[in-house]
Amino acid sequence: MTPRLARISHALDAAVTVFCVGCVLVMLGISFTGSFYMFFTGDALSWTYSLARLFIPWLGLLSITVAFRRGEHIAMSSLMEIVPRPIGLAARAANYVIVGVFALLMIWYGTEYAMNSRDLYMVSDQIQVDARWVASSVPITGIILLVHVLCGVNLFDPPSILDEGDLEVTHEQLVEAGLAPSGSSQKGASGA
Amino acid sequence: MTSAIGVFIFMLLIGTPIAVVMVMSGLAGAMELGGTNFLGIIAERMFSGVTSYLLMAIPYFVFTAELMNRAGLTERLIAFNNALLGRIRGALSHVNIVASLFFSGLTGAAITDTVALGKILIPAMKREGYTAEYAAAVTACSSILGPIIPPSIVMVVYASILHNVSVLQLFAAGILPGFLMAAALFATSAILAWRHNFPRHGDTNLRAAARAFLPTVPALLVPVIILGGILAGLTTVTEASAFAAVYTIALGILAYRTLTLRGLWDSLVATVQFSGVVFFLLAASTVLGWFVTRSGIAREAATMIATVSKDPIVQIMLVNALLIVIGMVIDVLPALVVVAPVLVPAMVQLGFDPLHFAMVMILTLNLANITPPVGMTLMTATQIAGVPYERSIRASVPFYICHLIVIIIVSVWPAFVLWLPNMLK
Repeated sequence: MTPRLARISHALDAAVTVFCVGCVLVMLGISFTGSFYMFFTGDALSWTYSLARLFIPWLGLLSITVAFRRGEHIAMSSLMEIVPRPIGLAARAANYVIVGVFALLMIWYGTEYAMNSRDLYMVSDQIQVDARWVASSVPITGIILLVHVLCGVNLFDPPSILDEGDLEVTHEQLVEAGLAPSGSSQKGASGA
Repeated sequence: MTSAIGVFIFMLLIGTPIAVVMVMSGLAGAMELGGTNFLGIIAERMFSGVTSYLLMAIPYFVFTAELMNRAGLTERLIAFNNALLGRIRGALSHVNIVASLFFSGLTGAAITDTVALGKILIPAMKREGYTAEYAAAVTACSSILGPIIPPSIVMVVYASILHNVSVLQLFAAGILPGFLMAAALFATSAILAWRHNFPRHGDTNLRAAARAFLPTVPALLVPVIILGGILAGLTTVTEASAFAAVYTIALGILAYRTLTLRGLWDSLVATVQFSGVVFFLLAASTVLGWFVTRSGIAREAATMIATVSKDPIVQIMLVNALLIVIGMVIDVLPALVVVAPVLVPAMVQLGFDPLHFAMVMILTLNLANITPPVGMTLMTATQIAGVPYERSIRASVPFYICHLIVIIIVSVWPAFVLWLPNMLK
């Protein structure tokens, strides 16, 4: 992967991540407002359910690309780790092709699906959202995935089970847990 | 059906992500049924697989779990349990199990629990003379309480792909088996502590226990908010999970003062990442599920099981054995979304209660977290302990037996699962 392609893939992933985080926060805000209102007034806000539902397909589909970009998807990789290297490389190339075809299918049939969506999402009597806006999350997810594949991003090596920072335990944490005396000071006990 | 199975096995073996395997084999099967006209189901099915309102609970639960881990709750829970159980032989082993029980009500994810508790408890256990492999084994084997005791992401996923049981019923059904499993783990730990003469600490200091317990109270209200709200019919699962997430943010910022903006952002990114894995499996399962429903595989599976034996106990044990084997090679969530659309209708057709079988299936597949060769939770604990994987597997054998006994009890005694949901009806 050239630095230019890496930058494109990275920038796209960063933008999608920010968008997905935004979706989580907006959905959370709407759901919380709805439950808070109901808890204190006993009445339900009519628009919260419909409005929050507009975001879940976007989050659900776009977050797939975020997980993909970071090698998080679950695969049975143990066999490929023990086969001779040429077979492993061939399998890896085949996987890029398979994911590329999958992305193309999402773009082709997703566009058709989005264009043919005729429903309306009724947020309220006044606010109605065309289903095409929501259904277009399918081809867009396909496009993003295809860009990552074409940029040659490493999609198939899973990250380490534990990140580097995961095992860091401070002396204060041990004291808090009642597993070390509070008097002595010791910097950064390692968990491993 | 042949092409779907062929594509499935081939792609699985070459290491294609399981969600893509499910989509492609579903499409291969669809093409066999109706040619290229059926390829369009990829868009419609995948879209409908991620539109359910209930699914919003998944990022909310993940977000709550991430926040909890960053809020410094782990140390407080360990301190409380240590003060309470310190005088019993094998104190830290028991602390590990009881802390996992508390954690399971907060996070519901086995690996999260293993990392949070293991990084503090495993080194502490090693220092007290426990073997590293035992420390890893007890941490991993108790962490799998997470997906059993509600709230549980696995249960939300199950209710989303199979509409024959509600997530509310599943949450209620998980409580008794979860506590039975915790009790069995505790008993196993006690027997091992007695046999190996594990160390104990000083006498129980109730004042210290109370002092350690108080800071955990606001966090322990999270499962109360979630389960209380849902079971009392005050909120839906989605609303309760949203409430819990906002409450946890407030807790981390105002009460514990440990949550920074950086921590909040990292939690959100981790939430998006993990949700992506779950949503992809869900979306893909609807494509494969479409083909499974139309191909009649479930009917054939039911006939096959019935041919082996007419005895329901033999039938469910047979299915359990199959689930354990599947769990050995595939992780819990993908295993669930792959086999549930086939096995659940088959077992219901044979006369099993859908809720009872759902719980048996979740319990059995949950073992996949700790069984070799791909027990992700045990691998994580092993990595923390810094010990060869095979030694952790050997040390886990008593806990495997304990889990199997619980699975057998729950399988042959449906009342254990159904009693509480029936009470709440």
